[in-house]
Amino acid sequence: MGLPDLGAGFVYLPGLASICASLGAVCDVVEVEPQTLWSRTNPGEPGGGGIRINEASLDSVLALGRPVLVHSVGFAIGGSCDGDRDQADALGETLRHLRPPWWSEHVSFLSAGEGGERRNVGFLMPPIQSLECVALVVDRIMRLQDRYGLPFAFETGVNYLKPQPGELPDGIFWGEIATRADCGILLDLHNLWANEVNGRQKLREAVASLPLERVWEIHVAGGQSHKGYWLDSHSGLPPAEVWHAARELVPSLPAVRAIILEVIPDYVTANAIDDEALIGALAKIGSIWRGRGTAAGAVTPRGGAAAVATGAVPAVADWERMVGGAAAWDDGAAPEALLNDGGIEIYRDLIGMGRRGMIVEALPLATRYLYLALEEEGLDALFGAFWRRCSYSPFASDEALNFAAFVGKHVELPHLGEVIGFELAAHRAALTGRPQTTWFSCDPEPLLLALKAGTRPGALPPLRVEVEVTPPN
Amino acid sequence: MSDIRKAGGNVVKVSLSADVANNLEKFQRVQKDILGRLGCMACCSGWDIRWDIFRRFNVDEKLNITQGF
Repeated sequence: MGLPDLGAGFVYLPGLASICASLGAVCDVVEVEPQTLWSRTNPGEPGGGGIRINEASLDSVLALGRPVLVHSVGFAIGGSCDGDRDQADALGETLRHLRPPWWSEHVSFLSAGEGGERRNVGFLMPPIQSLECVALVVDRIMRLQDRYGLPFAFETGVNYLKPQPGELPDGIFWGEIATRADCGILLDLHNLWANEVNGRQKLREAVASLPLERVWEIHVAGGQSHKGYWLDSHSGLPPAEVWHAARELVPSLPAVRAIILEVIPDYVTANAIDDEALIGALAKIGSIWRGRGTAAGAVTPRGGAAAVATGAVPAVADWERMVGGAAAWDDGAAPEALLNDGGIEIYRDLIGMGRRGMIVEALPLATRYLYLALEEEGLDALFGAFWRRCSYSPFASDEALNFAAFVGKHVELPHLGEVIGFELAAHRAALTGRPQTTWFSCDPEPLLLALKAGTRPGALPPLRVEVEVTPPN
Repeated sequence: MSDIRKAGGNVVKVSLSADVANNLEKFQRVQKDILGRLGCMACCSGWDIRWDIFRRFNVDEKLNITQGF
């Protein structure tokens, strides 16, 4: 397939825009996670509730003057159900706008359950590596290739669970999909290294099972340890072992076209990763990139998954229900062996962390108030009850609305509903660009300033106040 | 922060900027673009630092919060 050589680059996220401008010649290509540039249209308006694509943000990516790749992170292809139709349309529109030479997604599942009972899990969850799953993923990739008319590569994912009895080994699972779907592979070396450290297949063994001529792209990243597991958290620069694997393996890859560094913008600030360190990492990627394919051997036919599959694995839909239930809403559907897998607790922690993160970001004053009043233990219990009750929404505005409704029914604190109403009005103002009105039964200024300063508000004299919340500048 | 004006009856009308909801010093500095992140968060592949940042506020015996870092 005639794909262009792109070189060294990094995942562009909104918080990294200014850094990108300073990277200069060491950054050949940028990769966009399209979902981060989408928002909900206002559900209260005619035709609202769909997905709005921030075209200005897409244009600002193009204005960087570098080739762009699209790495989708919310339309995973490893589940028993097709992805959300709105997301499929938004993805198509994004691909038409950015026109990448190829795009990529994860062989993971994002929801579980039957029909109207299907719930979002809130995390990229590992599929059961069976022949049924291979067939399902291959069919989906072929349909996506037809739909978007673009080459597609899937990412080799991280998996915190132990290998399941009868499951295909990681490398054979991915190799079988790529060969049968006639698609590319995004070889994520940090995922494979994390898998090895956490007790799954060794990195080099997994790579040895791949059709190397299908590896179009490589991801490198950093992580962190948690409860004895190594997390693919993109929280820093790649560890030495990942650099070593990249330097060793890239020469044997005849078709690699890009090597991308993944790092989350929040960590760039929190972990004090300066521009010099990022430039150094990209320069190192550039030197690895220049050695690509120099030791590539003859292409060898792959396949043979059927020969190693035993068939004694759960059906894909059953697996989703068991793993999703155990990790996200604790419905007791999982067998004992799965519940005893330490990886389930890791997924629980990560799902909870993500959902909590969305809420504290979208409703910072209300969650501060709840934290002050309920203390951490009480707020944890409230979050836990909310997660069991309400399915995850990938849109922070929806998650905030759901949490606000839940809190309204379960927590009584003076003026809490008004604080939440104010923050939701701020969201509407930001999303619509128009002023929004909300009400307080006290002077809002001492109330909001107390929370802003981190103190629990005292008793405030009654006063009927109408507040017009204007869009942010 | 606000523009307060008297309205009819006992109602006081106040105009506040939506920025107020997001002006939480260090929290805000790390977040950078809070309202831009009302959108689809996709599915984070790892540890979500926003909760860590929130928790690192220290709470004293009077429940006053100070920045933890």
